[in-house]
Amino acid sequence: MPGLHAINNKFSKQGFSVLGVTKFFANGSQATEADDMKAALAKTTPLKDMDAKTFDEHLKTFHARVKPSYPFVVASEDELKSYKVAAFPTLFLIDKAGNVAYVQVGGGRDRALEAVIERLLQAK
Amino acid sequence: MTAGLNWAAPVVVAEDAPKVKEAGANTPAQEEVIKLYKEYQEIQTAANKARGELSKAYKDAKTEDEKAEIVKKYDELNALENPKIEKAREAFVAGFMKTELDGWDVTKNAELVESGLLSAASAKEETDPKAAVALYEKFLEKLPKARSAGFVSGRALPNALIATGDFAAAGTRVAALAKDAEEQAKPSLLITLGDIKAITGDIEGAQKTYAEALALIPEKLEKNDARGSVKRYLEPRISLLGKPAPEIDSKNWVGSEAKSLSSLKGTVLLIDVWATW
Repeated sequence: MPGLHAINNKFSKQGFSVLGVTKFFANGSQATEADDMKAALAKTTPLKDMDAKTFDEHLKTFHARVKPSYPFVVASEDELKSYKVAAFPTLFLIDKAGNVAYVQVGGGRDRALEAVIERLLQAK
Repeated sequence: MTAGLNWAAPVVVAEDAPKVKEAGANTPAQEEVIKLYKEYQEIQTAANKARGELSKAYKDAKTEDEKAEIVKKYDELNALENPKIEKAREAFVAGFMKTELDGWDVTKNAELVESGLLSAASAKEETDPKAAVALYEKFLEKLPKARSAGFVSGRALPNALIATGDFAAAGTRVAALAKDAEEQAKPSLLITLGDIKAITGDIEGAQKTYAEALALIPEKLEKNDARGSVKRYLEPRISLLGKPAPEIDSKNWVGSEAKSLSSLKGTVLLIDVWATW
């Protein structure tokens, strides 16, 4: 998440945005209240047996504590299923025409993400 | 938040590495490094033994209070020992990197050279990926049969190549690695090759390479066969690359007013599918 926060800040003025997509899970983990993102994520508290309403509250608090420069959306089961994701995180870069231009399973390849974003931003 | 794969995961040095053999014809600089390696190994072995004892005590513990006490001791042990291990490892790697790498006789010092090269390469991954590539290549040249050779050729080297940003060179090298790889390791390398093609905008080429990877994975796999997850990781690529992003119309947004994906057309969007667990 810190990596995508940085990428969003780097390109957000050029017609680029990041969207964190998740769905309702009964289990999750809550970030801690802290001054910066890394500290907020360094120690998390597990949450179990949430209902949908509790999950929404959890996600709001999570966003408020981690303060990523981009929003989250809670997709429906079916919407998420259509992305065929088998591991978190899985990243999808969408070009200006709305087509998937790059898929990455797992984090950490920021150099590749930046290269694709630069190429897609230059395209018409 | 940390769920899923971390491509840049640090290298874990094997805990059960045998002691370095005393060798006859080492240079004084090498002797010094062998000494540092032994110190690093000893400190690590002792810490692992203490951890093992605490884990066993935890299993045998009868009450929650006893368990909490053991967890506390475990945390204290880590807080005390991990910096020492890290310091010893850094001293060993720094010494090792000052020696002439080709001067090591890998028939005598294979474990040391393996540990030294892996640690040095992984330390360079973020700051100097080109140097990391050179070290991983040196690893494969000197230790093609080492325990970690599959990790280096299948994951560490390809990722370091991508991190250099020279995707043409990365594509050529990963294609060669995939060609030379054992049957089991081919699909994962072909996925990386497909990814590199997608990075440079060759969607059609990427899909062909993904299809090639999929064709190499047998229908029926043993439960612990890593190709099972490789197959699952192929699915979003094969199903979605080059296709319209599936619509997300949920009104449940956090940190912004609700939008639809289709309303973002004309901009570039990075979708991060994740979970808080």
